This record gives sequence, structure tokens and C-alpha cells, in this order.
Amino acid sequence: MSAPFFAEHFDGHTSIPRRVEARWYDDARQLRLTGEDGGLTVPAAQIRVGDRLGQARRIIYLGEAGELHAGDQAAVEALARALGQGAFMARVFRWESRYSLALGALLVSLVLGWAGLRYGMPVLAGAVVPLVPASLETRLGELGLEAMDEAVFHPSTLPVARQTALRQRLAGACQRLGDCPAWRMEFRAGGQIGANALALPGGILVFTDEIVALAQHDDELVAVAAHELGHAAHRHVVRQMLASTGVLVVGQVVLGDVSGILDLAGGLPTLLLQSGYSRDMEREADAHALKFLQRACLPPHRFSDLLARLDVAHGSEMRAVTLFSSHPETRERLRNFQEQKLVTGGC
Amino acid sequence: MTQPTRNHPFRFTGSGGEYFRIWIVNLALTLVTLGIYSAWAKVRRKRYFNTHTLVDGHHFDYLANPVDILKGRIIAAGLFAAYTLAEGTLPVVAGILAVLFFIAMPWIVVKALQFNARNTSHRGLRFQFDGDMKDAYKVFLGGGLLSIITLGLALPYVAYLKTRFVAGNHRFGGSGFHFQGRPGPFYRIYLIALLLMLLALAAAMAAVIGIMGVALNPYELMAGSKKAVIAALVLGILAFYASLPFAAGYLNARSADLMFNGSRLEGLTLAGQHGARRLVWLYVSNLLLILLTLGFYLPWAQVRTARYWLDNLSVNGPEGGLDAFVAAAGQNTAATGSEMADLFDVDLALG
Repeated sequence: MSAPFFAEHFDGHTSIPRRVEARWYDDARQLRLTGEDGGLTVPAAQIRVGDRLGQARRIIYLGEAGELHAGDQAAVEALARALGQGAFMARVFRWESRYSLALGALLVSLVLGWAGLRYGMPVLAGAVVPLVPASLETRLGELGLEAMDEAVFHPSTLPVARQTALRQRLAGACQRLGDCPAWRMEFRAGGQIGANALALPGGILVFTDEIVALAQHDDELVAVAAHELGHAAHRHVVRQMLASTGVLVVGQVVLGDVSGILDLAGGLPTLLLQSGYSRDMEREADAHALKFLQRACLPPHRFSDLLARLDVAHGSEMRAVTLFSSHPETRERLRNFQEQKLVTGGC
Repeated sequence: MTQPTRNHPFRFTGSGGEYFRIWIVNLALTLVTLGIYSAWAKVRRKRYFNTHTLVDGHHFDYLANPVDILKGRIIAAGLFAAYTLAEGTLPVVAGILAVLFFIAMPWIVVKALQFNARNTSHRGLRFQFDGDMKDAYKVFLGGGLLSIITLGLALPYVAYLKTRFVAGNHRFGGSGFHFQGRPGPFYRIYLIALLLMLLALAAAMAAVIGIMGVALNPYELMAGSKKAVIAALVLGILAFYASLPFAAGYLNARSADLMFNGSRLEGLTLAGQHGARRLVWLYVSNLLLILLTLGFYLPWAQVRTARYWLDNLSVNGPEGGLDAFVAAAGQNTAATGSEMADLFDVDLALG
């Protein structure tokens, strides 16, 4: 038997409040109410103690017997403990009662939430990628190429014979390896993006005339193609789209209640996440290129040679727009390729 | 009537600082759980506001099961993701989704009203929303079309229909609310709101022209140079947005009182006395402070808003009139939760 407390009882059938004295009997596991209109006994199984919230009076739900409203927080807490209820929400209430605890909780969760989005979301997106039909991806790539033709590119001035020679060179390497994803090589005058190469969904590899001119050996272009094929093999654009959509959805649903923050400060984290995803994908494509070159018996420095020249050609002004701009630190990438033996065994 | 009438004012006892901490912890747990906790957060938010709303010394309660809210959010998130993905790749599918959403709107509104009413209780009795789905389509879809066809002339009438539909179809326990308002007053307040907006716009435009006259070379202005046109456009848009709180504040305060003062529940009447000027000030100051604090003022803004609406509202009726309600037939607080749940008994409102 524990200390009694006063409460208002509503029976769930009428709106009349009745003042009662409530007392919990631990051995019988029941709550007994006594008031002017007589008594009532409620078994433990029927009782749910409402969570504590601000200054509000506590509500104790009694199932068929209605509910109690009580101002005696300590007594209600004791009842909740006796029933083994609401331990988690009692902790939440403690966090809510002090500014320092509430803000500490926010800081910790910002760090954890960021990590979840930054490293968890790409994994999740990777799991969904196989569900996207290849035909949709191809269509996506074609739409993308159309859009870029209109906005950025001009028709290539590269002689058809040269284009064909480059295609055959890549086809030859792919034939030797036997595991290239479906690809199609396109040439365009680069316009604003200058010397560059990019992989569009569905294995569309676009080379600008400028990058072809910059290459001093055709294998350098094959090496760049190997990098772009890495993007195609890992279906990076689709994965990026899914991950970004995921971030958007999580943002929308999660932070729906706090739209003020999301609207005003949501742009920057999203941007940082995107560039983080891109960097990971560039590393993956580089790894793919390196393996490709080694297996095709091509010296890995072909890739870094062209990359070094690209870096000089672009300087720093072009960093914001193109595929190459989000590449990991160029020097680090160059080293990855330069340090490899020129030709591996078995060639 | 021989019985003396008593006035029971509503009281809101929450505080901004307290709700700020609840809001922060909600945000923290939601982030850590990648959104799952948002359903529990919503229950906590709604419960905070309901349990700190008192009338005649008794508070309201919010009884929703967070799992039902989570289900609703998962459905909404799935649709949102599908729409976002389709927007970039399959515009036709995105278009179809948008049209379907538009058609489903009245259904969603009714479902949200039902969910919210059923999960709100006072003195141990639940509220209900009994709005008929056919009426909802007439009012929300038909009303929208009517407003367009009449070039906005029917707008006040449609507002009247909506108010009647929403206010008149709520029940408390077994007793139904009745809405007795007339369309006339709606026309009056919409007309005044329109005049207010035109007035505010004119004042804003005058200020814009004044500023431009000082800031820009008059020859440039006359030549209609690109810079001047862009500046005028930007300032005009800003002026438009600056004028919005005035019209919105007036309209919202007045239409809320038309709804409250036209509603009756058995022997009780509601009385709202919401000052339009105070609401305009509330909107403007909240907006500015939220912007200045990058959103962190939001909890205080919500508390201030709740206080504005509740502290100017009261229930009038005979002595002990609030004690006279009984539960609806077959309605019991305990039984409702699970038994009434059907497939779509989920919270579809994202707010």
C-alpha cells in the first residue's frame, strides 16, 4: 500500500468530474478509488499512466473505468514505477526540463544524424539501385544528353575517322577484359566545360573535343573512359539521385515539425552531403579505372598524365561545375596511379 | 431562460521556454532515429498544447497512437519520394500523381479532421468528426471550381460553406455542434480584407516608387533600363509580401470569430473576441523573429499563437453546463483506439 493521492475522476460516460482519493495496493496490484459516490477498484492491467509533460496535470487512463486527472506528480511517478511504465518517457521529460540537457541532446543527435545521412544513405540507395530498370536508366541518360546538347555542348568537329578509331580502341580493350558494362561513346565540342569527360546514365560516355586534343596518347583517353565506365558499372548517377531523394524525404518528413530551420538552413547541409557522395563515387570510379588498366595491360600513368594536364588546363576557375570538379584532391589521385607499377605480371 | 449564464474563458498555460526544450528534444530524437520518432514527437507536441489548454479548470488531451501517425507518414513519404523521382525522369507520371493528389484532397482533409477529432478528448469524452465524404467533395472540390468560374465572387460563400462543414460536423461525446452563421458576414469581411490588401499594396508601391526615385537616376528610370525594371519588380514583389500579413491577419481573426460565435453545442455557445490588429502584430513579429533566429524562435511563436487564440475565447452557458455531456452511444474511450482502426485510419496530415 502506498500513499494516497487526490484526483479528479471522469468515468468516460459523462463529463462530470468526481473528486476521489486514489490508493495503490502493491500486493493486490490494483488501484482503489474512494469518493462520495462510493468506491472503484481498477486492476493493474487496465491502468496506463500518461507521460509527464510540462506543467500539465497527469492523466491516468483506466480503460473501461475512464480516467484520472491528478496534480500530485510525485505520487503519479510512484504509481508509474510500481506498474513498470514510462521509464523512457520519464527520461525524455528530464532532458526537456533543462536547457543544457536539451541542447546537449540536440548536438549529439546532429552529429549522429549527419553520419547517418552521409554514410548510411548511400548504402541504402545502393540497395535500391538494382530495382531501377535498365531501360529507365538509359532513358535518363538520353534525356540528360539532350539537355546538355541544348545548354552546353556544340556538335563535335572531330573527324569521323578519329572518332571511330577511339571507339575501336576502347572496344578492343573491353573485348580483352570481357566485363565492360554496356557503353556508347559520344563526342561534343565542350563549350563552357572545356576539356572534360562525363558518364551519363545508361553508359553514355561523353568526351569533349578539347579533352581529345589534350591527350598525347590514345590510351590516355581509354584510361579516362575506364574511369567513366566505373561510374556506369556502379550506376552512380541513379545512386546519387536516390540518395539525394532520400535526404530530401528524410528532411521533409523528419523535420516537418521544425520547418523553420529546414527552410532557412537546409540548403547548406544538403549541398555538403551531395559533394560528399560525389567524392566517394569518384574514388570508386578511380579504383575501377586502375583495375581496368592493369588488367588490360595498359600503364596506369596514362590516366594520371592526362589528369595532371587537365588540372593545369582548368586551373581553379572551373571547379564548381563539372564532373572533374568534385574529384578528390587531384594530387592524391595522381599519386594513386603514378605509384602503380607500369605493367603488372602476365602481360 | 431563468438560469443564470456563466462565462468560462479558455486558458493556455504553456510557456515558450518549456515548449522550446520539448521541441529541441523532439528534434534530437527524430534526427537520431532518422525520422521514426517524428510520430512520437507529434503526439508529444499535440499533447503539450492540448493538456495546457484549460476551460473551467479542465484540460484537453490528445490520444493518438504514434504508430498510426507513423503509418501515415510512411505513406506520405513514399508518395513524396515517388513524385520527386518522377518529376525529373517521367513528367507524365508526376503529372498523374499531382492530379490524383488534387482529386484526393477533400478525402484527405476529412480523414485528417476525423483523426484529429477522434483523438482529442476533454473530461474523458472524445470529440468526433462526422462530415460526409460527398459533402466534402461538394464543398472543397465543387467550391474551388465555383470560385474559379465566378472569378472569385463566390469565394466568401465557399468560405462560409467550408466553415459550416467543419464546425457543424464536429461532435463532443454524443452531442453535435451546430453552426448557425450566415453567408452575409463572410462577404463583408472578405470585402474589407480585399480593400485592406489594396490599401497596403498601394502604400507599399508608393514607398517603392519613392525609394526608386531617390535611388535611381530619373533618366535611367524613364529609359526603362534593365536595372530599373528588375529593381521595380523585386521591390513590387516584396511590397506584395509585406502587405499580406495585414489582409491575412484581419481575415483570419474575423473568420475565426464568425466560426466560433456561430457555433452552438447543446446549451452552450462559444464566444471569440480576436482582435485583428493583435493578430497582424503576431504574424509580423513572429515572422521577423523566426527569420532573425534562423528558426529557433518557432516554439515561442507557436506558444504565442496558441495563447492568442485561446485567451480570447470562452464558453457561455448555464451553471454546470459543461457537466451535462454524455458519451456517444457505443463510444468508450478505451475501446475506440483499435476497433475503429481501418486500413486508412492513419494520420495523413503532415503538420
